Amino acid sequence: MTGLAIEPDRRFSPATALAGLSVGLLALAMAGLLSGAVAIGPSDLLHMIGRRLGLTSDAERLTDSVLWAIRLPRVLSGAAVGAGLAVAGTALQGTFRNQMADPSLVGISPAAGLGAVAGIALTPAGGTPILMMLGAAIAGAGAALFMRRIAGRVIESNQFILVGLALGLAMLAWLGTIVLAWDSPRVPTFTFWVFGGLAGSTWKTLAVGAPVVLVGIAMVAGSARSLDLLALGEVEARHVGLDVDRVITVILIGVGLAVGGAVGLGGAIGFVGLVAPLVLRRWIGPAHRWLIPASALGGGAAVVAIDTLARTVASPVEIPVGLLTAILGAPVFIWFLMRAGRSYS
Amino acid sequence: MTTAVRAEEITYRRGSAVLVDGVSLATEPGKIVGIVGPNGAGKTTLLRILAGDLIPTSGQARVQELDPSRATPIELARVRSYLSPRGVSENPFAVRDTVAMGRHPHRRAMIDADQHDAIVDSAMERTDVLHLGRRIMSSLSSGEQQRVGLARVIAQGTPVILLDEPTSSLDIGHQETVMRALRSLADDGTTIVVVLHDINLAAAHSDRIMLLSAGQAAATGTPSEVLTSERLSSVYRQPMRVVDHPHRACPLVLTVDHNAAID
Repeated sequence: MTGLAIEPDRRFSPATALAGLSVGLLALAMAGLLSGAVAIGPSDLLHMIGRRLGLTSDAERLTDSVLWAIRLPRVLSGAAVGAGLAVAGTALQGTFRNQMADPSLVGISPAAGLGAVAGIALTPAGGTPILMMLGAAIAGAGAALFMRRIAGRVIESNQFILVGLALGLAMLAWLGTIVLAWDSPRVPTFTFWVFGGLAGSTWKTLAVGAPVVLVGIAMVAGSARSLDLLALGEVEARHVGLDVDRVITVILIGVGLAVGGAVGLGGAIGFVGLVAPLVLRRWIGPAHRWLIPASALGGGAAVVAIDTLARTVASPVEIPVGLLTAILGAPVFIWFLMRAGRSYS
Repeated sequence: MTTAVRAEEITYRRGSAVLVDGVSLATEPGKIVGIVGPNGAGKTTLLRILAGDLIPTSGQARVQELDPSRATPIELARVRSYLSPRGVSENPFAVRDTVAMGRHPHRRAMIDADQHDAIVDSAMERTDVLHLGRRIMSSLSSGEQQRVGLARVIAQGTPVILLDEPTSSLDIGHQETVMRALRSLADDGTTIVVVLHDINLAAAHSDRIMLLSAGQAAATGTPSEVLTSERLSSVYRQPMRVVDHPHRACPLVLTVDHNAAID
């Protein structure tokens, strides 16, 4: 052993990192609001805010409605989606002690998609998306709890990932079959369920989806200390007094809600839940009381930024946001894993 | 006599296999009990029953008058700690944070952070890992990880400590360091039940030894009562000679050639 890992790269204290991530999220959200087909400047943004708060009685501008009805719900949805997926990834990686545990890779996002479609089928035409979000959350939690049973039966962590991949591919195939066969305008396209997209963001979906995501995040955040203890291993965590089965059930239901809300809002977006915890753990260390809020902010910032790219980079064509998260996320993931591999060899 | 750890006629079956077969044990506080025996004799199973991980098929266990199969995790964590024989851990936390996790069952106790810190430091000092405090667990050697695990168990501060092969990855110097640490804990009233593969380590440091063979207690008593040439040769199916340790008041077990006659 020659001077290996002394602590993560603590370039920032956790509090500094959280402050920086908050500023970054706000800045990227601002950039998202100001970019797009309709030219909007900071003064237009101030004007819209002023009118909404009743501070100014100026005449309404065209940009007001673009900002209010289209861009703001979309940016907020992006933040909620990114926060939900990244916190879910952090929770799954901590629970299963596996850096590959990600809502997409272990089948939870595709299951949530299937649940969402079931919820849509049960919703009367013109109804609120409550059943869709709940369906997604229930199916997501179900898949997470199923994977917990798998984790208890397999010895090797790569078997766990393989089972998750198989589950995910099967769910995705069912989802594709149902969506294509049903062929209803009420159901988002198959592309949405595979690669995601925030183009359909409205206040109506946000009003249901964001609370679902937030409750999920809160359940995970409330289990931060338990997630730390689980790093010892499940058996050891029980020996220091943790009621392991109960806390893992709570965590995984939280994961189901966070992923379900995220998938309901933005479809299946990969790599956020995989990469955000990996990068942030490196920056601020493994303690979940910091890692969970950092994941929420960092994941939110990442999806807001990438969604801005998705709708501007090939304008007027919009690229599905999940394609860009994969294009950008995969190299980061590979780079981090190789760096980690080097330090352990 | 008060007993810290008690096992009464414990039997544990899995399928048709009887892993532990009617084993009884009673330990007064402040003693070190060594459990030895060949592979598959039921040592780990017995320890896991005492720890509350496994529920015996019949018979009952008591740890500080608590039934491990009925107590909640937190109740158990306040009376017994347990070190499992694990390989290399993927734990991303630093050494000191890992040891401090042993304080979890007492986080609501009426003592201040300084006292928790002092307990953690003293546990780390006992197993010689104080200098590793800021290192990441997964970067340590298996022997270092084992000593950190032991420090965590000591930091838990329980009246009973259960250890499954705590010295399996340790060099001979650290084996003695660890056994000395256990003795000083026992002198302060802690009861220690420790599974050991190394019979001589058990002989030198245990107050009592239980020799398990095929799930049954072949003998229980002081090291010199239990460790006899004939008994060990028959239990391990390997000729052995037991002599007096020239520098310690304990038996010394030697293996001899298969065709050597037994005195």
